[in-house]
Amino acid sequence: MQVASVWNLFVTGILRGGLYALMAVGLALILGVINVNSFMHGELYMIGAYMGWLAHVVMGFDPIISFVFAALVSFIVGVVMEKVFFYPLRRRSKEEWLFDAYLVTVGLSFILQNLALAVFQPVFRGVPAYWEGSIRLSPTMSISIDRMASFLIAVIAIGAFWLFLRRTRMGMAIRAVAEDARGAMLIGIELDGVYALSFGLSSMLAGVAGAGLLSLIPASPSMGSVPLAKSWYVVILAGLGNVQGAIIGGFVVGMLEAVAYYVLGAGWQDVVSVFILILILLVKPSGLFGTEVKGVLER
Amino acid sequence: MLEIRDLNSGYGHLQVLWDVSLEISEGEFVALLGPNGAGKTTLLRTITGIVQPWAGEIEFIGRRIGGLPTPQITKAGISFITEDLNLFGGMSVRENLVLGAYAGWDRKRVRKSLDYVLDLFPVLGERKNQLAGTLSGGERKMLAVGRGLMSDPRLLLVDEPSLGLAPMLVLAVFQALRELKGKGVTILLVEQNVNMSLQIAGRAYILEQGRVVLEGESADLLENEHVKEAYLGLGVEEA
Repeated sequence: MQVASVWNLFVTGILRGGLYALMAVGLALILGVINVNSFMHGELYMIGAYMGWLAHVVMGFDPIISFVFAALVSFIVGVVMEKVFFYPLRRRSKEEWLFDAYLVTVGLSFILQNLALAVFQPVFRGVPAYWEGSIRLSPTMSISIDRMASFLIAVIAIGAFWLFLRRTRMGMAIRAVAEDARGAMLIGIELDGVYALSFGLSSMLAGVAGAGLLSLIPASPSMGSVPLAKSWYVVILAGLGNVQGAIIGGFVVGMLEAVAYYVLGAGWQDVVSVFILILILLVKPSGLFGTEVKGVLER
Repeated sequence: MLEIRDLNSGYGHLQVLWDVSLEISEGEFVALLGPNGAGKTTLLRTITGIVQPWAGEIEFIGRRIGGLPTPQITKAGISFITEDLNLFGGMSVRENLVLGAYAGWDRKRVRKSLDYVLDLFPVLGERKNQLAGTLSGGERKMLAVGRGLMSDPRLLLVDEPSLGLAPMLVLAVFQALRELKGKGVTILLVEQNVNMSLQIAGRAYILEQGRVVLEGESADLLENEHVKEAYLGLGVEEA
């Protein structure tokens, strides 16, 4: 194997990993805090991509401002959806609302896709590049500034989110609710606020991913299905609802796919990842970093 | 301080509490005793809004709190240490404690409360960075009481602190409660360990099948025939 191909492999793997981690963290957050199986996570990624396009191409904003715009809109969309769809559902039925909520996410996914089709037309909406040029590291190794930037955005977003969860009062409250909702209520945490905030943050992370990758993957109504599947894959691999595991899992899967692509050829990367997922679940049913698994029969 | 009048409550269609009345004054240490299934935990859950009251009134420092959501009752100054503790197992001991002060967040006050709690339970200081889920049974109880104290509560509700602990540790937990009483914390203790509870509580209520059947000074209850027979194993016919 040549140095150049190893380098390409590494760059591809890390870039994919950053995207997967960003998507999976948001999914793990909703799973961990609210226990909702979200199947509209890919559509929030799509909304982020369209918002990035809108801000950068249509309104002519600077890339950074476009990312912030996409992040803000996705956050608001997340909070509004929680308040409009999931809050009443939770209010109405005490325990059985989770399956209803899952079905609502599936429904919303279809609605959002078709809404995007109606509003933005069946045309790819992308940008050739946010930033031009590339950095040459050696005669055979280079990386485009654009790819570098999208990777940095992923890392900064994940890092900021991580610090938020560890260091701030609200972040700690979110973790407390994920650990033990009743315990959280008993120390004075209002669940409604934490749920809305978690939905908003989860959507925001997906939106940032969509906007950050716009130059590599143009916006289109059904663009969310692949990232959705991948983030579910990462979350299952890492252990449901484990945010920390989702970050590591994202990079593991990204690298794995890049290697499989290189060694076995295009089309095989999904086979390899699912094969490894099955192997891991056979050995450790709670996922790599999961701590407890509730059997179907135990409930 | 806490006044409960003719409280009825339960789960679904099952009524558990029947016209329960109870009163606690500032600085008192009151025990709520009774057999399994008498409704002791249900009473604490109704006070803290986990279970909704069906009828009757709950008044806390002159304010009606019956039916309020749990977080607001905590903010009003009631700390509930549940039977299963509801600790945040995946977070460190320190984080658990700091979160205990969530209701009245103020950096200076958090620091002060933290020092106070670590002074009360030095073992928690040694385990500060350990995950709460990895603590031993006794340490977990200490952590739960410590977290409950972090909000600087006016009233502490403690549910079965002796449950599932080795006798040595039960002693340590009761020791800690006695110390809290010495510091002027108002406590309502729910227990099945009648003898020990009557040793440290000033007054007690006895709950049987959802009704208060006896109440009075601990010293008097220790001499009461019904208490001796049913709870202290001093029944005449068995002797």
